[in-house]
Amino acid sequence: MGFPGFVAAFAAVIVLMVIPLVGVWAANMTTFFGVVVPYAAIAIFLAGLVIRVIKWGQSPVPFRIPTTCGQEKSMPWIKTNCIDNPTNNFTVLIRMALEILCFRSLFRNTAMDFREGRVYYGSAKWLWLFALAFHYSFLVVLLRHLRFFTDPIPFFVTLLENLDGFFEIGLFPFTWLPGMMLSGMVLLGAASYLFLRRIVIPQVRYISLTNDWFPLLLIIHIAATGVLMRYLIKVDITAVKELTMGIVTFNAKAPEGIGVLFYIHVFLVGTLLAYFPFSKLMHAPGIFLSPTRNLANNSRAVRHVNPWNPKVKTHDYEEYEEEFRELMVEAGLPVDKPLEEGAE
Amino acid sequence: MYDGGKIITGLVIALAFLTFPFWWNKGQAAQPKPVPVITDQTKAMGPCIQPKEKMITTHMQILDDWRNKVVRDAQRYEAQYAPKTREPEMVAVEGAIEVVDNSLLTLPVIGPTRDLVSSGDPKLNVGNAVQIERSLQNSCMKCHTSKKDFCDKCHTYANVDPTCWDCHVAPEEKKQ
Repeated sequence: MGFPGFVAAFAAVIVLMVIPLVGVWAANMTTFFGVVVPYAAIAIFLAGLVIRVIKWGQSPVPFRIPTTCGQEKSMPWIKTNCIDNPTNNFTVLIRMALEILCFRSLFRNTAMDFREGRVYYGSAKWLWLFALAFHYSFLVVLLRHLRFFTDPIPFFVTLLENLDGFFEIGLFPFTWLPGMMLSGMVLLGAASYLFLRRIVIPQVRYISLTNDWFPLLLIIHIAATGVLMRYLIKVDITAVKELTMGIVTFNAKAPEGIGVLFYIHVFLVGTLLAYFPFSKLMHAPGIFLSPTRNLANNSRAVRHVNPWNPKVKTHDYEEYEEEFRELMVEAGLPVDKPLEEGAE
Repeated sequence: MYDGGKIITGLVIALAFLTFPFWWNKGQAAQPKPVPVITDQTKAMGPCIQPKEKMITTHMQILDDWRNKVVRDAQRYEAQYAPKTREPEMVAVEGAIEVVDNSLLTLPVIGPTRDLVSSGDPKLNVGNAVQIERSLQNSCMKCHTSKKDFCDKCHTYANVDPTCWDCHVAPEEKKQ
């Protein structure tokens, strides 16, 4: 797909920005874009998320299929790698926590290179680094947005804001940025890296589809409109909060005088929310339900029976010996349990 | 469902987090945004240095710019051309905004004034130009006398904690 996919995704994002621009500027449909769209997006997001996860839950995982990256627990004198090859629930928990919080599998990313006709593999940490920066800054930005959705505002939001604006960068060349929030800039920068990576590296560009480009471009435009609103094309913040508080208290009406940029931002966020359950963004709940990560590698220690197997009539050795013990003793065959005295 | 118990538990926890704003504000009636109090006394002081809409969104940048200019470049005053919509006598009031003579217009200026001064607009006379001291305490708070009823109204609502009052002293709140 490659580049055409990018063009399609970019065109889609532009259209998504023009819709609220026309709708609010020309038709003044503030209630539609400020109230109806957010509610619809939230409803689709939550319902879609639940339905998709429950659907996943209905898929059987009859066997233990963890991908292991270290020595399995075996003989006591062989050193085991309990995190990369977990054998019980506790070590699985550690493995999952490291995967979700630190993106451990991305850390193993390697790059291949040809040098003087030979293939070389080397560690490639940039993707891991920027993915981590992207996800965490996005989280911080999301949590900081709670200041629009809560009253009273919980303490951690204020704490995050203070930490985020800790450097108080307000001097050259940022004289137009009073109280610069780092997370917004990191989000924009990291998302741009992830985007440029798909543009610049030919192999990655080749395998990039429209549905890889689209969420990335959508998030970049969400961050960009947010940053623009905060520093350059300002909107009336208290009017914005009046609207957002109305939404969370189910009494929303769009107040007058919020700039059109706000509605573009909200429309893009609404698109992201509604698109979420149908897209690759479902890796968020998906990572918790990855059987290659969340299962203990205990196939040799514990017997796992396929849950929908029909009941198999078995006749194991113990039962066999029970049945034929007398004949076996008569024939001179060894038995585990000797014939009882006076049984004959 | 396989492992239904675990998956449902996870879903419930996730939904609890995702719907946090909805239950945190539960039972709360939606309130209109707070409006900073502008008293008759304030109105009598004349127009603000910028239109209201501009002040709502960019006052923090103006103050930040003022601070940098005063503290770093010692440019304590700026001259402003009074727009046509403002009556010259409205500008020439006591307190923050005062008419300055032409000589003072050589002071660093921002915004439209600069263009008008350099273009030699004949309409620019003493009555239309104003000098503003770039000062939170000596300019802004002269008209907006109450931090509690003016600044804090929106700042508390939007969880903004400006560093102004780390150094400046807020005017004494008058007893109601």
